[in-house]
Amino acid sequence: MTYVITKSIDAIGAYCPGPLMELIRAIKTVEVGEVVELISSDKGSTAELPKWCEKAGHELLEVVNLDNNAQSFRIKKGEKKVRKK
Amino acid sequence: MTHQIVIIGAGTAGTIVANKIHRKMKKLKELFAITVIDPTFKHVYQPGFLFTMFGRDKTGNMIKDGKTLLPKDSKTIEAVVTKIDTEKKIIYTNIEKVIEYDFVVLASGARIAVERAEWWDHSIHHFYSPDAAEELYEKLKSFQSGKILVAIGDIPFKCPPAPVEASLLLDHYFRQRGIRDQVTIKYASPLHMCFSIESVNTVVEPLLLKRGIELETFFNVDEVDLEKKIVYSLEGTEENYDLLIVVPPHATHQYIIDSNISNGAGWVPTDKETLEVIGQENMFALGDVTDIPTSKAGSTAHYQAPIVAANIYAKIVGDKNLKKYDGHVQCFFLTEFGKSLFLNFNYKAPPQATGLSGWIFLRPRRSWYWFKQVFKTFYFSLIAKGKI
Repeated sequence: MTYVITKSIDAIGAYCPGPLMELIRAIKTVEVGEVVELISSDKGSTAELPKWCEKAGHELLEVVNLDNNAQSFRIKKGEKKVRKK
Repeated sequence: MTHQIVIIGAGTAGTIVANKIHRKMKKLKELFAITVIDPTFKHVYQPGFLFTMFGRDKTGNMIKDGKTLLPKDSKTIEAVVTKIDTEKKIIYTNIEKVIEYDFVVLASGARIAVERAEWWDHSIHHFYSPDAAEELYEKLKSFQSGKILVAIGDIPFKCPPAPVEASLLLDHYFRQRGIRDQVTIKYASPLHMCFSIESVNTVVEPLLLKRGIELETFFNVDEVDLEKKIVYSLEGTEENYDLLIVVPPHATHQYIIDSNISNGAGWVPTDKETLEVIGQENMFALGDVTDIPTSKAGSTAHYQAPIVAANIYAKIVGDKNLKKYDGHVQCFFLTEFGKSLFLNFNYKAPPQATGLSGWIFLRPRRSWYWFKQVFKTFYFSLIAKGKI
């Protein structure tokens, strides 16, 4: 899988809800289709981040295990969901 | 040599640490002098806001003259800190007073920062200040039917249990008024669960649902349509409301940013064990101002204060063995007026269901509720004064 990481966030040492909040802040700053990397050592991220991506309409491209017991989550920003106004 | 110890902030963190330093070094009075800087010296017992919003306590009972809680021989300066020159060890304030320091303790807390949310409006209620909690009580008194939405403006915020507690207490309040069936209560959590700590969530989330409180997860507020009374989330969902209660966004103070000591989000990068500010000399931080991955709560500051006091003392006497904060936090988690959970945790151990001697922590108990009530009565005389 080839892609370019536009923004990388190191959230090692942060616990829930830290990593998710870091991801949300980062996602807001990139364009649709760009990729954000979030590095987290919080075990809760494994369950939480994929669920959030699914609900928010972003694509979790892959999760890479790192040497320091951390994981790198690569997330492609999706289209903002259309609201019923 | 007299070491000038300057504490910025006279809230819970600043007051307790001033008293702890004073107690730690009272036999060595010639070695140090304490100066505390605060804009108002109004010391507020913030856990009381949850009682004020339901008319169960007056804000007057929660506010004391902060100068009366500090060590008698400490110097107080009523001013806003504008900048710290960390090279020259000088603090600048809005009253053109320049204060030199040997040690500085950042204890200025987190401030309510509604300006950070473009969607914020005065019609949105919260309970994070005495005035806001009183206004909310007036609104609740006249609320007869409809949907109350409780949401979070941004993370981090002070007292993580507070919005869940508020939802549970709203249920109790409307049951007591006999109109619970006319009122829908919904808690919109920014996370995939109701509360951020799994062991507590397994107790609280079923309780919420059992009490008929609706739960929406992964709801991060993005926009509010005030005319239609709809809140839109970043996740693409929406919730209507008749009364909207939102935990307001929090922020640090401007002097931290202007002094180039903040992390990217504005909080102070702090060694989570020694409580030294990372990259700075003779600077410590405690309480809500830090970026330490634990609750922004008075209890956190209470357990951090003796560590800061001990480590300043160690540096003055040349002891290189600094004490370490283990992340200890204790707090009560109200589930109704009359019952509470008790959360006791640190960096290594999340809140446990039971404690020593079989004490049951994570089940709603009358005993914990009354402990909290008693705690309030001795907060000013014992906790703030650093006696326990």
